[in-house]
Amino acid sequence: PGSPPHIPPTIVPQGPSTGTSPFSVGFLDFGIRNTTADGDATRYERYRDLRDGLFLESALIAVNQNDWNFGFAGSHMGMKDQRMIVGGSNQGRIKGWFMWDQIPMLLSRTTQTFFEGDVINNNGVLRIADPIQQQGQANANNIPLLFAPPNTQVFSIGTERHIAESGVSLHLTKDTEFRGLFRNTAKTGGIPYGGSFGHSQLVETIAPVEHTTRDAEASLEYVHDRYLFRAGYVGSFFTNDNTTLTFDNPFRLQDTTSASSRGRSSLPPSSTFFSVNGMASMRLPGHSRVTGYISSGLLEDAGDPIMPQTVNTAVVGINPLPRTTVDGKARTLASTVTFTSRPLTKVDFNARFRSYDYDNQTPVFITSQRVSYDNAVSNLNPAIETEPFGVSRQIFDGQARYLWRPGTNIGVGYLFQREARSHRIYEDVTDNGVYATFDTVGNQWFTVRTRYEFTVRRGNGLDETLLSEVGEQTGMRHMDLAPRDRNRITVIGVLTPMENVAFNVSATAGKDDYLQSQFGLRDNNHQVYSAGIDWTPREHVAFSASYSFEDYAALSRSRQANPDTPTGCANTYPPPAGKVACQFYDPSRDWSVDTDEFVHSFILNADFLNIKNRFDLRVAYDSNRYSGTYHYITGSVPDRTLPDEVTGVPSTLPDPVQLPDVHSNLDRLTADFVYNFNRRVGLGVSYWFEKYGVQDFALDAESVGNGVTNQAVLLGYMYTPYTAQTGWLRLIVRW
Amino acid sequence: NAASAVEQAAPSEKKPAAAPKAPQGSSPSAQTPPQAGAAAKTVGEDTCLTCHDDKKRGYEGSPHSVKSDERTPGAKLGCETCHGPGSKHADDPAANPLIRFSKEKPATVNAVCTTCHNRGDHALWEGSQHENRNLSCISCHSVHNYKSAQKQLKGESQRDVCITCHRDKIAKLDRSGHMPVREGKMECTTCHNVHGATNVRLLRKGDSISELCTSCHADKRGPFLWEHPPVRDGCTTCHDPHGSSNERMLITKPPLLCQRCHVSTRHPSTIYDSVLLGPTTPAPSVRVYGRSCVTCHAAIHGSNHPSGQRFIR
Repeated sequence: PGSPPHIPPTIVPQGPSTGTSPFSVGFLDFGIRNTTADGDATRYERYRDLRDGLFLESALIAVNQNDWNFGFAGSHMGMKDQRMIVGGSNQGRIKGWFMWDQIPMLLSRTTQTFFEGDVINNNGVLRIADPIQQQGQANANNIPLLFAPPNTQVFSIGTERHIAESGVSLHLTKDTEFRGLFRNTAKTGGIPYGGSFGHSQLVETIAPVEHTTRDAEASLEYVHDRYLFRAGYVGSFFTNDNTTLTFDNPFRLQDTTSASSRGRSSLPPSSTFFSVNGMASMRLPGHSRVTGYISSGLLEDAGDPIMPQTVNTAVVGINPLPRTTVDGKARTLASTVTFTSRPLTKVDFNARFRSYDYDNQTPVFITSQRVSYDNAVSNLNPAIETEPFGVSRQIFDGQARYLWRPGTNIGVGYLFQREARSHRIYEDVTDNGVYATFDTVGNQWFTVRTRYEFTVRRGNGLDETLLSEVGEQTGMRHMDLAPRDRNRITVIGVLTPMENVAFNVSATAGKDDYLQSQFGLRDNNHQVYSAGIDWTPREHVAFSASYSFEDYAALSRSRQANPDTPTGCANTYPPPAGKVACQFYDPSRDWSVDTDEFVHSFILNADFLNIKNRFDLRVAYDSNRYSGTYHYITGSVPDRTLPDEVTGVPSTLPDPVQLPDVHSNLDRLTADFVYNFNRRVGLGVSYWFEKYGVQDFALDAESVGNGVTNQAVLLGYMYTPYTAQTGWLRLIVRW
Repeated sequence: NAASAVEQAAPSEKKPAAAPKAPQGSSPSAQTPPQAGAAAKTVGEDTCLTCHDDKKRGYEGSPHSVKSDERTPGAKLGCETCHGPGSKHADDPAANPLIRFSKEKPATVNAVCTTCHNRGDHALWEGSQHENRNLSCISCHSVHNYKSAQKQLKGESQRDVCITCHRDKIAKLDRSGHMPVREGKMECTTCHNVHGATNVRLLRKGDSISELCTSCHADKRGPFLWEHPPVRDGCTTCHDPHGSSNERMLITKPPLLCQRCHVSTRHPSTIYDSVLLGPTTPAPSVRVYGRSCVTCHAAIHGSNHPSGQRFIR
């Protein structure tokens, strides 16, 4: 079973230094809070509830009697992000707990829509008043004029998870332990969702989220002498109360054979996944151990019927579906074998082999008709069919290390990974890699960890017709399986010149070159550097500061083209005499986008604890400054173009007008001060300051503010800057 | 968990020391705790505390000290369970030093700890990524001087511990698109078992990256009639689970993300430049702002609609 829930560390007091029996301890942190925010408070409170008024930040009660411990811990009680845990244990014998946890995800309070009624709890149906649809149908230019109250409503959008979890750990004998867990997760709310009616009628809807997931896990483990055996079960039962969403079209009231007044989308299906697994481990001579693990699983949908082709009542001539249910089904089989050995004092080996099979047994669905956007029926010749994707994966990792000096190891390793996928352009792809490590620890002055890795990925059985059949460039390689050379290096160092001062530095760099991808992702590089200092001048006083810089860069290639353009064009390049090449084959229409993202991060901390046995003060500041550039380049990129590509062809594309750079800054300051009157009672003041600034061409107000036009009706979910502050006056009681 | 938190807040009743027992269930590489000479004998906790009274802090009241649990040092030989018999050391501390974990090589430290911590979450420590990089148990945990009662971590939170090496991952938690880690609703160990796992990347659950992600995001697992290959292959093809400055933790912005794999004719291969942003443009395009491609291709994780080949419904 999964990890037991954790209580946030801030609410768990250190155990008392002495104990009597029976006894109880407790901790309460409560008071009054005020939050102010200019701008988008939603983002400030995305996963938390910082509302004004009284709060009970944390509570803990623990009772001990006759080797039994019982306790209750709660945090943010009464708020949308509350968590409460009650548990009991007799260490080494039994442990049990029940947890109630809520996780909100607030997306927006300023979203606006034509849809009527309770748009979040919509039961899968979203309606627009007929007069608005009528005016939209009469003239699409009416839509932006109508988009204001009372024709629209402003609403909050987001989701909440309500998690009830119970678990038990039972030591049946000193060698045998049973673990069980049951979790019920109810997720409610809504999320922005697409629901368009064609390229000139783009609509955002609200997908209802009424999900329930019930998880049951159990394991039995036996450990004795040199042996370990474990058997486990994992079951996950997902129920979606709304597997379809029907929504009105603001641009149309009446259905026709080429336009629909409503759309209907599929939403995720209810499903069940369960697996059984077993593990055995045995100690061998020569400080060796072998461990084997196997797991077999089954994923199935709930048997819901396949929805009709369209909700458009005017569309006729639709053939019956070839079958009425999805019959989604997949079997998984995973295994792992690990061998570790230290036959000599200075030499150790370890090797691990993993395999994973996802056998997709969903029957192929063949259809000769398509109703795009619920608008019009198209007859397809040839018919199209689904591609139940499956994968078979084998991974080997073997390493040998030599203990050069005490605490210093030099290691070399070999990596192998083979993945065979169904319905993909390669029958299989294989990674072969080598790596070297150098780690030294335990030294009084410094710790160094380094790793270098070089991996080559190549594909076998390339079938470019799979690309041409769907109209893709045959020189494109999907980035998740494209042949690739990968170089990665990591260096982490900690220097401790004095007992109370430590300097740390780290550097990570990686470079992926997609050597056969004429189109698609060509390269992908990253560099991360950091430096920091930790200084503890005396007990209970500590300072730390760190800075890190990250750079992520990538180049991808494409070719802008319309099919069969210009008229009478040739499907070759260079074209025959007297002809011109079709755009699809014309390298003068190539373009690239060079993406570069930079992030600067600063973290500062100062702690003054237990000063004069009365004061605790903690101050923290962190800053995250991101900038991203997306630079379009027409024509070839000399140093990043494949040697066998057609180069030197002047671009015939118009010069692109570059996208504006993206910037986002997040600055956070927190200060916590506690005055302890005595060991039992303290008075605290806390202050949070958070400032977020953003310029984002995709999601800031300048762009999304244009989201309602004669061709589009968006909800207005956007990034908005904010400055927020929260202050707490806290009373802390311990007993 | 609640129970362990309670345990740490509430030390068990003191009982007379149990008779010393040999360590049980030792791990394959476990070694006998170092001894200060072959003839050294145990002297009992009280003798140790004569000089090392400060070491009571942290240990006393912790799970290690619970005498009613026969697997703990408290129920066995106390200090000498881990540090070895101390008779010679008591006679002449300078000439007969006992094991000091902070000075020992990682393999030695790990061998002592895994004498008992060899099951449950710790069962796969040997050969794990962290063990292979010379980390030892005391790289993250402390028996006597921990800052967090939760798992006796050396930092006040998991974030404080993991940042020591994984600074790049921790930095991503502060991006605008992030999991609720900094809000305290998740931790590194929500997804990872840092002590070793049967899944890749030390993932705590499932047998693939997708299985780990869909253990919470079950709505994405399908099985669907029409599947999107990278979804089936692994969520990290498009998402960075540690955080991103892009919406929905995407590794780069759409449409540029989608255009990394879709190079056909018409709109998938069009340059979406600043001209389409508006507001002076005659027709600002949601292909470049807002939800971009998924304004239409909404069912991007998979569709059960009979016309769902392009994930529009």
